[in-house]
Amino acid sequence: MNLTVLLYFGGFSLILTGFYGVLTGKNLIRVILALGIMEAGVNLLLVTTGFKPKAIPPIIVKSFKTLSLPNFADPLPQALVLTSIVIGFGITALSLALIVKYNEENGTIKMDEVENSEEVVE
Amino acid sequence: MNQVILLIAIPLLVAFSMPLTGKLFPRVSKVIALLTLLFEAIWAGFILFNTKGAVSVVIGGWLPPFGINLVVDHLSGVVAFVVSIVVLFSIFFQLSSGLSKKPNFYMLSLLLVASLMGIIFTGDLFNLFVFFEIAGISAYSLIASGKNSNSSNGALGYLIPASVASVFYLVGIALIYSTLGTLNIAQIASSFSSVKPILATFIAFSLLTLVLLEFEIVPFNSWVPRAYQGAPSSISAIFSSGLALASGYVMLRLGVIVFNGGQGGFIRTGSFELGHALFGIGVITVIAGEIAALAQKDVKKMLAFSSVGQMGMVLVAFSIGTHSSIYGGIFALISHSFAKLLLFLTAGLIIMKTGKSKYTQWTGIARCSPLFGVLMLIGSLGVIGIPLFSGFWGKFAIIGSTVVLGKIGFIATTLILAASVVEGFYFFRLVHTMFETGEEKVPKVKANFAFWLISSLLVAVIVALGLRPGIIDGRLKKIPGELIGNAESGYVQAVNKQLKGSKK
Repeated sequence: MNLTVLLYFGGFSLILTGFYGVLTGKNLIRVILALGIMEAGVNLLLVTTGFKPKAIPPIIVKSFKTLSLPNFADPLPQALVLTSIVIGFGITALSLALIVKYNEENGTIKMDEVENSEEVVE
Repeated sequence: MNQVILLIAIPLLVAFSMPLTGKLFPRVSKVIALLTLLFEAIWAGFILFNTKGAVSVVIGGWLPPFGINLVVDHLSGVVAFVVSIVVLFSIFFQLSSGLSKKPNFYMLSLLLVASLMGIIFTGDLFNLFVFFEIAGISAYSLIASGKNSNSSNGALGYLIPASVASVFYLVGIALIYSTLGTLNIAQIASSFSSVKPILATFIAFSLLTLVLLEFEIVPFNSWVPRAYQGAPSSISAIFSSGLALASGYVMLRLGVIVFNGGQGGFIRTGSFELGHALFGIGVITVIAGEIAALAQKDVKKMLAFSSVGQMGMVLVAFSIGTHSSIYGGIFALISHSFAKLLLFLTAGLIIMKTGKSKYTQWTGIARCSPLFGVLMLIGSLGVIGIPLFSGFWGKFAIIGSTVVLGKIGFIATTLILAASVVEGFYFFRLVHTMFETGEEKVPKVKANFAFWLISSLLVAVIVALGLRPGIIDGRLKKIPGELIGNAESGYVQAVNKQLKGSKK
């Protein structure tokens, strides 16, 4: 099988696996882990869009004599993935902090066990 | 004009200096935050009044598509101006009511306003994603800063679906980049009609999931009631009037400019007409939102579901894609922003002073303090769309453009009008309860000068737009012409000039 096809396949299956986890998970930590799997899948997908067989790093060094471009790897998807990884990290950290608060307020980290409470102040 | 970047940069700068200034000079930091928001409103107004047509602004000397550009036209100018005013009023209310004393609250609000401005002006799809994430992160934290037992529940209930939707958005970005090799919105727009129809539909669907989620459209709106109830009232107001407005704007922008099928129209992707599906989804959202609002006893949840219904109506208007329907959709969005802001702030003040959040507990409040009843009444009339109030003109234009569509349009018109009756019913039920004589004594609600200033300004805007829509029509009427009817809108032309410049 072609490597690119394999990578695309891997990316989409990770996304779908994570999506299944988010949809069926009751435990909040598990849901966040499933989100992490989805993000990993989409990062793989993004990197794959810039993938070329036998490419070289996109850095111009003095040894290039001609203006014709050699077989550079596309650097943009990698920059996108870097941003996306950082955002994913931030979201995971924030959601874990929120889960701590959720646990303090409700005494559980399971979703759906907490009915929408009726009393609201402020 | 070229200084539109200040709308994003200044609040970001002030936001990140907030923790420090908050530690050193707690009082000054609040004033600084407020002054920044005031600057946003003035500067956005200045940019709006100097807009003559679409202009692309290059950031950092890198011409698009290599750098990121910001695009200013009438649509983005109007939306940015309204959003900045909404945020200014909400935060001023929050500050004057003495609810949040922590500088972090102002830091997050400034981050939210910076990201909303970014969402509005950016000309790059990935940049749009980043700004949506910043808006999301500050929004989750702001919801969790609420003091009630639903805050962290609401924040997580918003975070999880929004993160899933943003993964789908990234899938869409990966597909666009691998097929077209660019992420600049205008450049995608010029070549998008060459994408295979089935792939184009998939890309449109995966990109728009995130936008539809922020736009509170059924079936992506499960986060709305919990988040609105959990958040402090001023933040609920920003969600309803600012975030929903900005995402409606993105919906229109992407739908009309990118997914226009090469001939100008809303979301025409060839094989499966997503635009027609969105029309149906919009009608369902109107009905579902209004009926869910009818069933709510909690005032903030009721207002939240009412927003859902209104956004559904705006989506219906956009998906028709004619001049008058797009004009109506934008007018409805703007008028909804002002009216819902008034409702949320008044309701928030009453809930804060009395500690009662259900409308059934509000019996007699307006007997003791009638002005609050009047404010809720004017806000309701503005949302429902009674003549002489701002909501009327938007709804009038939308109904006028659905009714000419033939059989389906007739059904949609009937359903929207029926939903409006439901809307009228629960709003009048709320106001009626406030004016009833209660059995138990209710405390008199008092407000400070800041609240009266904000609310009287909002009432003035709602009534002025209702009596004389002409005061903003001049600009709003130009918007549909800039957007639809031609394959290359002014937006795309403005950026393409630079693209040609960069190739030389």
